[in-house]
Amino acid sequence: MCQGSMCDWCLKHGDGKIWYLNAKNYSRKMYKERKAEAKGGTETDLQRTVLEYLRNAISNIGTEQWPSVKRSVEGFLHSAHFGQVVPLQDMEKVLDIAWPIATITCACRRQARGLSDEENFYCLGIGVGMYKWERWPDTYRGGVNFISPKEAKDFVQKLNKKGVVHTTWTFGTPYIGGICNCEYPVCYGIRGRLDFDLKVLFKGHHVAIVDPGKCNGCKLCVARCQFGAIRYAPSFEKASIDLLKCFGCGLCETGCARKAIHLEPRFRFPTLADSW
Amino acid sequence: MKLGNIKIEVDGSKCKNPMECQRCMRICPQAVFAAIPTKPKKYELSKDFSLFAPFEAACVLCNLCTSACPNNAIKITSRGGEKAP
Repeated sequence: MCQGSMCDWCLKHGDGKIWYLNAKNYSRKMYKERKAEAKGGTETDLQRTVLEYLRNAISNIGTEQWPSVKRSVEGFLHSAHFGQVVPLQDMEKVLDIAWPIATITCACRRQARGLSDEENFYCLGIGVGMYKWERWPDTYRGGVNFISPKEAKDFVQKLNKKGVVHTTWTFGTPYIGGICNCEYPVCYGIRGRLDFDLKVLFKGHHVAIVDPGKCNGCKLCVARCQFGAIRYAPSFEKASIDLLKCFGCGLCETGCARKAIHLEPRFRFPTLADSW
Repeated sequence: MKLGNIKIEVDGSKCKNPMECQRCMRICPQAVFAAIPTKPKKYELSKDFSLFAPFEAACVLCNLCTSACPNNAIKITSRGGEKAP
């Protein structure tokens, strides 16, 4: 029985569960099937193809071609490489399913801010594909550092305190090969979605609700939202969340000292149930 | 000059090592720049990176990048051709 709301990916690849909690999508079998089908083949090819697509796409922004370029880019991304926001509680469940798990450097941050490898271990590479990364460390900057599920959960918990959004990424949909810890604007997923309405990153299965009885207007949550969905309402002296903008990442919930915010499944709100 | 009409060109001969310098990339409030391998090769660690401005549409002409660049490698113009203020 489905515990939460169903996005398109759950309907296609969830087998009744939330798709990123379906162990099938992490399996070696799925990896091999997708690798055989995908034109790109390997992860580096995928990164390079995605980059070229993005480069072409961005040069078309504002032109007449943008709507059709956008559709074709989204079509490619949905079959090759897209992400979905996952709150911390669900990410910990994911880390019990994924194997092996390794910390790796973040391509987005390296490209956008020039971070050196030492300060750039923000992502987790998961699944059998990681063994290839281990064999050819020169292809994947910074190499791979295999860790246990417990270490991986500590890793994401620390990053959650720092204030980054947990996201899960396909490498040949529906095979899930990576987990990233994102922020605006360096993450091309969040940036693409917010600035260009490019559906490369999908909203999560929850939205955040503020309990005005518990909120004291301290504004800690406002600073944590990477999507601009939460603001301080001076007339009420409380935090206020725009549910149409909320991606359900849960950073406001984990950052609230008074436990005044909680994540509610998206399907409970009819207008939001289809808003991905 | 309207937002979205801005063209940012990076002179590759002046910007040799963007990943080591990083000044414009770090200081830009709109994260306009990106540095990617010039010639990506499978299974090889790229040492040569090229800087370009994929998000020039977001540029607000703060000129923090041109001030920060030690080699004057960044040129900002409008699509019409006039030089940025």
